[in-house]
Amino acid sequence: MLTIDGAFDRIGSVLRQKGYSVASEERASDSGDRITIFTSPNMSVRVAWNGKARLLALQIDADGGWVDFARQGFGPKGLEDSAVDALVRKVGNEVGETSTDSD
Amino acid sequence: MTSGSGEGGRRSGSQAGQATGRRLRSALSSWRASIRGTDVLVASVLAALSLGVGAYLFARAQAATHLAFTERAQHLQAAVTERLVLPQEDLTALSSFLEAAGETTRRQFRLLTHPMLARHRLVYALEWLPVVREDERPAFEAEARVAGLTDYRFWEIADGKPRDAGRRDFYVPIHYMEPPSTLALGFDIAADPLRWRTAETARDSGRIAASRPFALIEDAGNPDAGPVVGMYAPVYEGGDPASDAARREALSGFAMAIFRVAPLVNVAVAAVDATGLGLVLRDPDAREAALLAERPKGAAAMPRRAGFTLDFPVQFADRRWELTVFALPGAFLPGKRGAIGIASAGVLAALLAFATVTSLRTISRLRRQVEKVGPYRLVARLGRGAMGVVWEARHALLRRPTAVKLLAPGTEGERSLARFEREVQLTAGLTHPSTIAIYDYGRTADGVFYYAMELLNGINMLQLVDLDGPLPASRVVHFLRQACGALTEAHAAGLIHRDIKPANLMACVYGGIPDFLKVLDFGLVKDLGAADSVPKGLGTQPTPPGDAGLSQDGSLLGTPLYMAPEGMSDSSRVDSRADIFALGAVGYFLLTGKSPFPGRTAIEVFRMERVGPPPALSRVAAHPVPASLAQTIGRCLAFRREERPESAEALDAMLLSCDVEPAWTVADARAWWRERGPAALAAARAEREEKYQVLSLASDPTSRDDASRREQ
Repeated sequence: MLTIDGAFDRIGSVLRQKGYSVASEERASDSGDRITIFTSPNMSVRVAWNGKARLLALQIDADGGWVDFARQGFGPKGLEDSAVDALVRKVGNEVGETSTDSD
Repeated sequence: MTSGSGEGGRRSGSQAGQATGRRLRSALSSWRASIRGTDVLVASVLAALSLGVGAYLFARAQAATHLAFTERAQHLQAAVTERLVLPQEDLTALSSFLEAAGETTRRQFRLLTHPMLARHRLVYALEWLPVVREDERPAFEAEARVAGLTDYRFWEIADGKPRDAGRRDFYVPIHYMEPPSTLALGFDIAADPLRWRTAETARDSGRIAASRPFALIEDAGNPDAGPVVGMYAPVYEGGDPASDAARREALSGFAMAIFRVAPLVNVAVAAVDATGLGLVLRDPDAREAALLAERPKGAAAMPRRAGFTLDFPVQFADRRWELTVFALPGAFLPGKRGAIGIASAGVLAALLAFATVTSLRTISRLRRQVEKVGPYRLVARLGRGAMGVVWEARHALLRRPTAVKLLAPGTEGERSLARFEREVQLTAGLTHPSTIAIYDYGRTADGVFYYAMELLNGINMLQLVDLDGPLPASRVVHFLRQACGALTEAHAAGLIHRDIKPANLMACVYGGIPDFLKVLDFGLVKDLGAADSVPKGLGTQPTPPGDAGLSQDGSLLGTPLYMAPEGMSDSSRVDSRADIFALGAVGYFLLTGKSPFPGRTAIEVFRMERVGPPPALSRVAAHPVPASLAQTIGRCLAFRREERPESAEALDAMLLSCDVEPAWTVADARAWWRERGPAALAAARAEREEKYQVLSLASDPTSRDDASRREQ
């Protein structure tokens, strides 16, 4: 099981590898909500944790707002490594990596 | 050409690395499976034997070295002992003469000793020391002075200084000396307790006695001068009386020889092979100046190696000296190179033999595995994908050109097997001519899952655009409609392809029909009907965990460039409209040569899909695109799936209604295949061979070219 910080670290790490940098970070101490915005020259990505809904979302800036790219709900036990890693891979997926019969 | 497909030149470095890693793990796994216990045992025994032989050779070299040292040391000891005897022989002869002659003049003494000194140059001096009574002293001193020794007198040392010998009952002066030394002549040894003790020993024993090492008077101030040893031979009147008391009475004097030990030892060393040897000769009874000789200089302080030091007792007159012979640093080292070389070569040979035998067995096993799969004989490897390796094959009886797909070695997880099997079963149920035909499937004797499908001789859409550039709208519609036909049947069966992309659509001449399109690779097919309560066609039932659009490690399967946004963000929500989106993206690519939503990562592609329509076809297409076709493709590419054509059948109808003039005819297609077909097929084959390094296992009389000609 991962902590929220651990999950944000993993996702942030792969985003930084892709050329993104942290633009802003917000934490709400009472609800546990947390939002980190990463930007690159092309676009912005928002990683948001909703403490009440226990929902971790990856959002992109489009149409003047934030659009869900991927989201993952977690139970009361915590954040499963595999589920967080699935989000991490979604962030890291490159166009050339995902062809099924290309190697 | 084959049911396998490709995305030439679109792999990233990390993917190539992962593929290489998988291959290496697979090869290692196969190799490890080929290792038998006896291989390890034999290799271990061979390696141990090599090490044993090496150790034996080293021990033998060590023993031989020790033996050589011992022999050389013994020769050296013998030479030193032999040399030490010579002065004693001369002294014995001298004393015998003096005893026999009774009275000997100074001249006679000179004549007698001269040849002895000439023969043994290492003897420093020969002397005659008579016992002189007090009353005889003047006569003796006078005789010497008459002989030319003007300052001759009996003298002694008191308080470190010479002085005339004091009065006593008898004196034992150095009376004759050859070669003469005025510094020594007249010295009364009876006044020197140390020397007189040695002389008394000789007197009472009747044999030669040797002194402890001492420094000559004339060597005072010369630190390099080595110690000398004096030998006293008693001379009796009338011969040796054979009793101690009688000897004291009969003693007439002493013949004495003085010699330096170090030069004598050096001569002995020079007479034998003393290479690599050091020696130290010392008198253990001497408190001072115990060191008689050493070689080389400083040898007494040199370190000694265990096992390469020998101590010999050396009897010199009545004294017992110690001769230590040892190996000099760096000498007498056993040769390790041969032993190490043989041991290393043996171990290497054992490892090499082990690797060779196991590798050959692995290759043999793999060849047995792959050469024959069920009723199919594999001919050449055509390519590989995420799920398997594709081979060209021939049915043993039907001789029909076939492509056989084997689950990639090393990926035989239960999930992979289940997905592989499902792909085959679902695809086999499709009968549309534009869907790749599955012949059968099964498992090899080794449990490798395979399925056989028709072998196509064609060129995929990616290769086609790479070769000819963007296609005219009429030909694009021609291809898209055929794909719609295949997808209509698949969707109706509850199957979603999920990886529609240019590389999975192949144009070929099929059954004599040119530009016949085949939809390949249902490897990611999603079986909506397999889930509970799934509405046909547009079902959105969540896919069972792990079976959807993620590979085993969670990576996205499918190609983002042509993937519907919902496929990237939540593969469980994918339905048939994802294939519609992908088909529209392929149409856009065929018209423009570019992906409608280019991006570096899935996120970037997703954002572009979300942000809005791609550049207008009227602006970026290479050929004129009717507005109706542009609109149809634009609808396919809608971010919201509700805005896309509701089915492949509906899309087909929309394409049919597009006013594409002139339409793509069979004559156009036949002309293209006649003019461009051979070059296109050759280019496709060359790309595949370069990319996959096509491995031919066996020649086949019905070659692919023959098959190609038959197809056309």
